[in-house]
Amino acid sequence: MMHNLALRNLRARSLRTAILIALTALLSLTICGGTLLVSGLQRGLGSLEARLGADIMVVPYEARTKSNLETIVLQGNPGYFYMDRSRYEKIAGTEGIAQISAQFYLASASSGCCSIPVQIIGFDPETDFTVTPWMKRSYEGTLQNGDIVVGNDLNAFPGDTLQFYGVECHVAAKLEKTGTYYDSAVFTNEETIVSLIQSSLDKGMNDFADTDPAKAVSAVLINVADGYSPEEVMNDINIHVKKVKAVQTKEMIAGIAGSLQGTSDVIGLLIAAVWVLGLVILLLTFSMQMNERRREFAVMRVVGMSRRSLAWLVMQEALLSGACGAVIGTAAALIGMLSFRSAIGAQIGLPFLLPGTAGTAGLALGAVMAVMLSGAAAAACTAYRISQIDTARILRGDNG
Amino acid sequence: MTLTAKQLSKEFPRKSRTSNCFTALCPLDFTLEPGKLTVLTGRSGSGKSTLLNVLAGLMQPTQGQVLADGQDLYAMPDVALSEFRNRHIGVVPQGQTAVYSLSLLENILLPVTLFRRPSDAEQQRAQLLLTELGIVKLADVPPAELSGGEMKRMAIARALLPQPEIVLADEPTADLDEENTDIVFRALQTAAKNGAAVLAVTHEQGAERYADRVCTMHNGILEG
Ligand SMILES: Nc1ncnc2c1ncn2[C@@H]1O[C@H](COP(=O)(O)OP(=O)(O)OP(=O)(O)O)[C@@H](O)[C@H]1O
Ligand SMILES: [Mg+2]
Repeated sequence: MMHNLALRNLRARSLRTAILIALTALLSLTICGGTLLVSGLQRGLGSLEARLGADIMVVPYEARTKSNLETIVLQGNPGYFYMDRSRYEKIAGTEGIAQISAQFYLASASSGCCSIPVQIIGFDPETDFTVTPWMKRSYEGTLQNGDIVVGNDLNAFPGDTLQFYGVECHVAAKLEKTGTYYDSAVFTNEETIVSLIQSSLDKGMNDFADTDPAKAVSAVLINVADGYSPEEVMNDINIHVKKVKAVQTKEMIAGIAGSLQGTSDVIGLLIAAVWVLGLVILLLTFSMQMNERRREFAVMRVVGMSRRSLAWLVMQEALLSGACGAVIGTAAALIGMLSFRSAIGAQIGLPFLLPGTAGTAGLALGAVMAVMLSGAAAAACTAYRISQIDTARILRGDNG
Repeated sequence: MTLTAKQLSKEFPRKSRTSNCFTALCPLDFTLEPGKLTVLTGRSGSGKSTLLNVLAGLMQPTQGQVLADGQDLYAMPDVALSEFRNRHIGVVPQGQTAVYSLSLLENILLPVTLFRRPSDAEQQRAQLLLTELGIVKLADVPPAELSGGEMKRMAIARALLPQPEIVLADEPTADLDEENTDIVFRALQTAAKNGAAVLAVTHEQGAERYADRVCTMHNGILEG
């Protein structure tokens, strides 16, 4: 009955209840949405860092501008630029290189699987050290000619066949979600990509200017040997190899990570501000109801409700509306984040990777709990004050 | 159940030329006997409501004790006192008192529903009281739509529902016409006949007719 009474009171004051629910919903929306946003950004960057796995990236000189490089490294829109393989040999001759591997980027014409052209990334399984380690997580074998590995966003599955430039490719594996451009890319070995290039040229669809496509590479990835600093090696390459630009990828990420930290801090501060504001408004709303209903609370005391039960009644009302709002707000944040995650990533131009199901669920639960707890704290103050009312004094006058 | 006040006094902090506090009740001894309807009259501000509230366990006296069959009300912890009031004391407070989210009938059943689902007998008693007090047609109406007199009668039915052994009514007929005043006093009389100790504070002229005993309050001093 007590429980029922709380519900009855909430229903009878539907406007105030609606406001309370909306307020807590907004609070949990901010907390849950904000935390998801921050963690999505941080995880996206972390994922990118892990996937990049190279100290230095060398690209043709045409691609040297800062914005160009950032697009390549951070947003992963591999530019379509090429240099001659001879340059790769030159770079490889630099002192202090532990691992070196070339990659080839090719834009596909639209294919059956995808509404947008996908990026085809060719790598050399012999030397590769950036793609393979993480590909191994979903694919055990070695890529045969004509085999491709597809990113998580592509609507293709192992066993499927996709056509690029008329060449039939066999889907050997599908990668886990990374939140980076790898999700919408296709990976294949060098021989396959050479045949793709060839047929694209046959169809008159690509222009490689004066580079011989059979000998072209798009980028060279380098890991520096122990005892050498990436900076030295980078400078060495920039000085000694012509028409290329070497950059330290991890340093670029570190720069972004720094500004991302700033963004996270701002979002964190906003969350805190909304939280405090929400708490204050909750407190005000609660104490308004206390004044408005003090005569009613006095009646409860007259008919034999103890101070403790009266406080609990007030708590129940607050907790019920708070739980309702917290769940609605958190659900809205989850739905919003999950359905717009790609749009969010595209909008901010950074990889965006939400935590997995368990992580997201934990976060959502945390948001619900946080809002419930603050609501409970605000309600507890009011409940205590209401339980301490001077019944006789309130009842004395007609208007209390 | 006999309600006894021993050397009961109540002072309120209030500054005046002569003192810092205002004496609403001068030390008084008072007994409310079972089976009797006591009517308490007196000028406005003489301390009637103060006495009633102190007797109901709702206002801590400055000095003295209130004993219900020898049990000191103000020595009980809040939970016990609340439960005691729920079981044994029916209070009709001065003014309008309603829980606005409940219907009239639900308001009347409140002393029971606070702790449990009402039994059939209790439901029947509620209907009986509604009929007796002439508000049976309003059972499902929310308090916001009731007139002052209807709400007052609702408060009386609420106090009488659990058949308390002590009934304390503060101006139960304040908003009522002659006919309804008669109905209310008869209801209080019935409660007394059934063994309750009943105290009714009133300004009503003819209230003595129903009373087994009449007391008067003069500036905090009880007479009769
Ligand atoms: N909480 C309080 N603080 C200060 N003074 C109070 C308080 N309650 C009552 N009084 C004073 O005590 C006196 C008695 O008040 P009480 O309400 O008992 O009068 P009453 O006899 O019931 O009058 P009425 O017939 O108008 O209801 C009044 O003068 C009132 O101003
Ligand atoms: Mg009074």
